[in-house]
Amino acid sequence: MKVAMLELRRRPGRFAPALVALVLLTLLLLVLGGLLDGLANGSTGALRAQPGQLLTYSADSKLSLVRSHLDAATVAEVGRVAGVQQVGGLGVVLLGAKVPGRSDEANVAVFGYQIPPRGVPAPPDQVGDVYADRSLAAYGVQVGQTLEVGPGRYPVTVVGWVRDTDFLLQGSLWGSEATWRAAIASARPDAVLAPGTFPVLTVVTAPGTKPTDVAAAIDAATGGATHTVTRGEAVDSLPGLRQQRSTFNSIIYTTFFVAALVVALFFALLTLERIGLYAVFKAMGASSRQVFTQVVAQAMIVALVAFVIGGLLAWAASFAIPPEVPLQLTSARAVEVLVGLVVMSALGSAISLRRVVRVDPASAIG
Amino acid sequence: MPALQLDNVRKVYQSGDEEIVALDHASLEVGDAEIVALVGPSGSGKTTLLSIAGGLLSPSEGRVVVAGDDISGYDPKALTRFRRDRVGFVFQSVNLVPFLTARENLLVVADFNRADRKAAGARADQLLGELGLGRRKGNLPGQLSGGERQRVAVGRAFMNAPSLVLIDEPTSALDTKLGEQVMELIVSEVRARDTAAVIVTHDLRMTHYADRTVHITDGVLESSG
Amino acid sequence: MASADGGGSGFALGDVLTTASGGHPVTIVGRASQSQFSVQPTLFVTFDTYVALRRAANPDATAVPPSAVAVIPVAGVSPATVAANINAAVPGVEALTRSEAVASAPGVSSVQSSFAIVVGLAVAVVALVTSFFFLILTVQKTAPLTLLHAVGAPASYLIRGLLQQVALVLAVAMAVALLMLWGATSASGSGLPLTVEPAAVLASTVVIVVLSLAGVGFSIWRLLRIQPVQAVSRQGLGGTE
Repeated sequence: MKVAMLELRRRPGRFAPALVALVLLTLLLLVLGGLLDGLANGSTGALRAQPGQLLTYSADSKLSLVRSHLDAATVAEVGRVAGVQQVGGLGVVLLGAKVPGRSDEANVAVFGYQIPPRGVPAPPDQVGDVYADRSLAAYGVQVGQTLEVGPGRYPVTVVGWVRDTDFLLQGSLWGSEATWRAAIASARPDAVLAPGTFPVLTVVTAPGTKPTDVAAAIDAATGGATHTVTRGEAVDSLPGLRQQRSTFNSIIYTTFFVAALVVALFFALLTLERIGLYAVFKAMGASSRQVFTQVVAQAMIVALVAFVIGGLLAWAASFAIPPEVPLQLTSARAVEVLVGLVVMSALGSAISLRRVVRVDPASAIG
Repeated sequence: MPALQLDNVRKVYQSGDEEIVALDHASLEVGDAEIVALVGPSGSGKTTLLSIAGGLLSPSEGRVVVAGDDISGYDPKALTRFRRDRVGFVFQSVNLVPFLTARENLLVVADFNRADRKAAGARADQLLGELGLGRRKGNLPGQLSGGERQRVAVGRAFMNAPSLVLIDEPTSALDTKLGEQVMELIVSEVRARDTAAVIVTHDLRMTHYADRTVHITDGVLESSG
Repeated sequence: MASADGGGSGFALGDVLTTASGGHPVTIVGRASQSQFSVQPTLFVTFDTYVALRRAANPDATAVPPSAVAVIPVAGVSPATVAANINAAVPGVEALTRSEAVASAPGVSSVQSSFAIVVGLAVAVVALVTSFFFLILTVQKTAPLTLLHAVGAPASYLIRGLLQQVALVLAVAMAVALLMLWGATSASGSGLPLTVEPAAVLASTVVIVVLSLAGVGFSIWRLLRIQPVQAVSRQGLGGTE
């Protein structure tokens, strides 16, 4: 093993081509993963943060928050279904927001809520007060500021921050029901809803109940006027999300495969060049396993070093990237890339196993 | 107990349709601390004999006993262990690892043996001192002269305290004076440790260093004093 | 008028559509292409029809104002100028040229920039890895190539042989890749919005070919610098001395 380490230390240039390729691959994988996470999280935050296990939409809305609406009578009916512990209305309107001191507008999603989502305090008492998602800080938003939303310039005041609650890549502003209705009235008269009407309901199920059963019960109770799904299903049905995820994932898997190929080819060549050396080792009494372990160890270390360098580059790049590119480098993703890279390198180097085993120690002589 | 005993050893190779007999009924005995020179022209089978004695090749027929161990029937795994523990090699083309220092080249063997690193380090230092390389032990092969490299190779052969040292054409790449120096070194090391050695050479001028010279032609051994 | 994209939603000329909220049926009188909005098929109707549909979908609506106003400039005046004039004269609106409007649609720049970065990186990686592969393949042949060189094969002969190999490997690889791409686009349907632009395919092909040749070229150059006499001398077992 020591020989393998010493070679890496004394002859690093030999491994440079593989290292460069793997650094680029690491960068690509981290950026892909980061974009996938950023795009997904930035689209789904508001829904993932919902406190209830279920979300109820109107049946004809095809699970679209924008198209759905439920009148007061339906809301009351849902509240009466067995297994429903709590029902809260949820509404959203997508608007542009003028930030003091900035020329460009921020894209915001103004939410009205009754039951606080994860990490969000209870709805502010004052109409016009909102909690802002941290993502808006990149657009110059600060606590205490008053933003003007929509073409009607409806004023909202930021009273605090919340995290990971964005919707459709727009920064969320969380206000009381009254705030949200006022914003709609100002900006989108065509989307005004009668008092008591909400687009969507957050449903908290009673402990011990199965959410899917309660969902079915709700839809039955409303005579099919509603379509109730679990939070996870609601998240998944956001337009484009599934396609985005499968696109990115296919690119990611392909990239892992390419990494294995790069390592395989590089170490196959290295082994070929070192057949003489391996013959000498074997002549001196090294087993094929000992020789092979060195090859695999070298591959894994090169992968590890490539990951560190690539990781640092990705981290540095995340500062240079403009705010509208939703790159989110999470530690979970980093671990996944590290493990994948190291495993692929080990597998790639394993291609040399047969060659190593076939090296004839007798060739060291004569 | 003789260091090496070859009993009617035959080695036959298949080359296409042809059968090539590299060694033909070779019998040889090398005493406990004896130095034997094995002389013959190219293709005479001397390398094959050396390889079989060192457990690098298995004989097609016959018995091979090294320091009391009958290795004739050993499988590759057993032969690997045998080479690790019982024999030392000095290769014709030296074959030092170019990115390891002289000292590290000696310690490579200890790596495979999983020997105690401290003890191995001490042994390596001692060997290198005896070989006159005390102050060169931190140098890479590229920084050593031809003769110095040969000495490192000799040191490496002794690291595992072998019962038998097998030396392949030690002087073929060296001029006469340097060749003599190397031969003297090898012989003095072998004698100092009471080891046996078989030295393959085609250079008759070097045979006087050995206790005994054995000639080989076309796979057949003939002895002479 | 209905947009014909969107993976064949099955609408035909003359169909009468009713929106999910009921009310106001709509008849398809023509088809448009390349006119989706937000990856959705689109219906183009008169503004009055739009208002009626909106009210049917949301009976609580108090008014249905237009979202945007399309402006056609007078002949001889550029759209950018008109946009600037409007911005200066009318408070509270933002006038944009058509391309500006496309680019600033929320989410568009996010996704576009994201994919641009991904594509950029991917091109760099693919280019490097491909060139690397060819470099290695040629390096592996150094011994026999040097030998040929030593016994008198002219450099041009060696180079030609290598380039022919590269060309063949690349041709086969491209063919397989294009087949797979065609398969992918046929299979994607309405799921993945995949369009293949010939310009992009051509550009990628050129990049890969150029970089593969660069990889080969580099190793050929290295090879030719090796003295033929080294092929004859005992190179030994490589990696050792």
